[in-house]
Amino acid sequence: MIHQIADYLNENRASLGLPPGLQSADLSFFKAGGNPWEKGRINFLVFSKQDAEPLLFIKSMRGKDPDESLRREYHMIQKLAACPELQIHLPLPVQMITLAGHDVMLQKACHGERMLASLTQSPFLLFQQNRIRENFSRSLEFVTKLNTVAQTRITPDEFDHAVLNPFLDFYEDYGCSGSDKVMLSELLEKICRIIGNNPVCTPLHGDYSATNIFIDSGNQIKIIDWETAAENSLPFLDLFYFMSKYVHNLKIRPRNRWQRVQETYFGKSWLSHLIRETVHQYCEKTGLSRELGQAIFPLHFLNKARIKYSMRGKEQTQPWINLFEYSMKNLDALCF
Amino acid sequence: MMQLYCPSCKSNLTILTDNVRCEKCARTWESREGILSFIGQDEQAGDITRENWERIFAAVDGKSNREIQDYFASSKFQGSRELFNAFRSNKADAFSFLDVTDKDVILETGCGSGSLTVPLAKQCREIYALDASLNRLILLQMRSKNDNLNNIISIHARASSLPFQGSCFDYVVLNDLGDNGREKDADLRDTLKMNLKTARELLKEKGRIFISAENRHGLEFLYKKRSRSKLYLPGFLPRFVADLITRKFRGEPYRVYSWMDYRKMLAEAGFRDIEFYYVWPDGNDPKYIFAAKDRNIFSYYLEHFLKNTISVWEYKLFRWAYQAGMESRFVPNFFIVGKK
Repeated sequence: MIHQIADYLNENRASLGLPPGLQSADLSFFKAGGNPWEKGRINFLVFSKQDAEPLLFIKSMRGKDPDESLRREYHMIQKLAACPELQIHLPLPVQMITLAGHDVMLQKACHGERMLASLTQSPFLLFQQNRIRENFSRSLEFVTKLNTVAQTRITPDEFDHAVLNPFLDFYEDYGCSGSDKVMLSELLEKICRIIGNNPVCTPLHGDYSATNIFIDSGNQIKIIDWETAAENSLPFLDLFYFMSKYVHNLKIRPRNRWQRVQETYFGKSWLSHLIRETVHQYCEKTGLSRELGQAIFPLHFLNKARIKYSMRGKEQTQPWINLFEYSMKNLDALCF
Repeated sequence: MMQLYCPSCKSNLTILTDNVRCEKCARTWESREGILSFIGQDEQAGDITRENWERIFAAVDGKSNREIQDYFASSKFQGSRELFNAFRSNKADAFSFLDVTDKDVILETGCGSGSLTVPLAKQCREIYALDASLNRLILLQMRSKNDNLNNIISIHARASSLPFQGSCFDYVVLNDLGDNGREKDADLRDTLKMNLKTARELLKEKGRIFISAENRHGLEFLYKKRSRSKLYLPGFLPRFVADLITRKFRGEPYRVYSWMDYRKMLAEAGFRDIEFYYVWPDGNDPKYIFAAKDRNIFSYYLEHFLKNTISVWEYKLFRWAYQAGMESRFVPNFFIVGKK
């Protein structure tokens, strides 16, 4: 596969912003992640032999069937790139091609450090507080823009059908109890009531975590990996997921990550306080109410469970379902 | 299916309904569970007991691949995780760096239950999948049937007695080099050399060998992860001491080699253009792969990926090794490719 990619790059240097005179023999490839399943992706970083930083990031499908999710990701980036405020945060230029029957997406590689690299292995929260506060604030910078400048107005029926019902459908398919299903229906009705007759949808990144945020040498943040993005979804979800995943990735006590996430949202720790502050700032910047945030909160766990289930099966999904069910039943005890 | 030859005398084998026969030796090899078997007794491969195999086949019979995978995911017996992981397709990602086409014929020895065989079968014309464990081959057969793959020819055989002759393969894949064709009393290094020599003979003119291997000096085998020897420390002891310890505690010879050992053995077998690829976290789940010669990528990988997952002293040692041009000594896993 990399030989075909190299040949393509050789013929399309200019449109991808590659240095003139670069030959395919000067390129080297680094298979960097992707997912392991048959219909998954293989990711490559492309380097010039002399350079320390990569030139391009490439996602190619392992199978030969056309892949809707990769095409959706490409269209999503293209659509967001039309907003000047968001453009600077995206890995552009981006191209979608088919090589030897495989869908391939090529994009400019982000330079700098992933935000994840700034997380320490330390079990002591005290020494990380400034960094955590700073990272929460950086994440807010992009997510408030995403949730304000790229909004879409739709009818209440469309909102119900396209945004809310998929949560209920997934939960039902997953195998929830009757009473839990009723509880989720009531939660969704509550969201409808708060939103009123003019629902507004926002794009969703779907995996907005410190792993997918790059901070470049100019201190600009770039967001990668739009694989799980959706055009029309709910505000707050990306912010909540960022915070949950961040807490999940820390090495502090309690050692059980799931318990740590739960205790943070439903406790009174320094992290709970930071979350309250961050949510308040988000509400101020977006004009959305805290009440709406509270009602949407459990759904970010369910959304993650939905994504996880489609990729990894039930076993790895269950901890997210547990968090969803706990938070749905304890909304009054939330820290914000 | 290509012509098969007697593993002993290399005469043509006659394929009958449920067995094959060598007229010259007057020997017959039975087909067991629809798989041609050149081994009389099934070998116990890995940690899965006979009772567990019986349980597995009773549970997965008639199930789809997704259901089989779910079964392994929810099972808790020893070896179930390994079988679950065999359904991943990423073990074949290293072949993105090579040029496998739908004209290629591949021989894979030590194929297990098909973590490499199934994804490769989707890229090549035909793949001959050999393993000494019949149960694993039966599982592979179920998988390939579910995937409608009819270009996998499973053969129950050891790498040391192959039913092939002449230059007939575009790729020969050796999984777990240390194990292939191991006869209990044979000298291990001699067996390996013989296997490499046989592999070279079976390759077509521009054919390539592909080996998945552990590095005896891999830093993580020092204390974090057990190598194929199933013990921690031996990789950092002199070879004869490592061998003594492994024989004492595991009852088998020490079977892990270093970068230099592999290079030497391949060169001695006549392979040229030998290229090493670094693989993380390991050969069965190769999330990260790049050529050892691309040292700028190693530096990038160290700073942007590895640094976040290893301890400070490991990072410093890798940094020092990189600056000294010696990182290959400490990388834990390789894919090795050599041309005939």
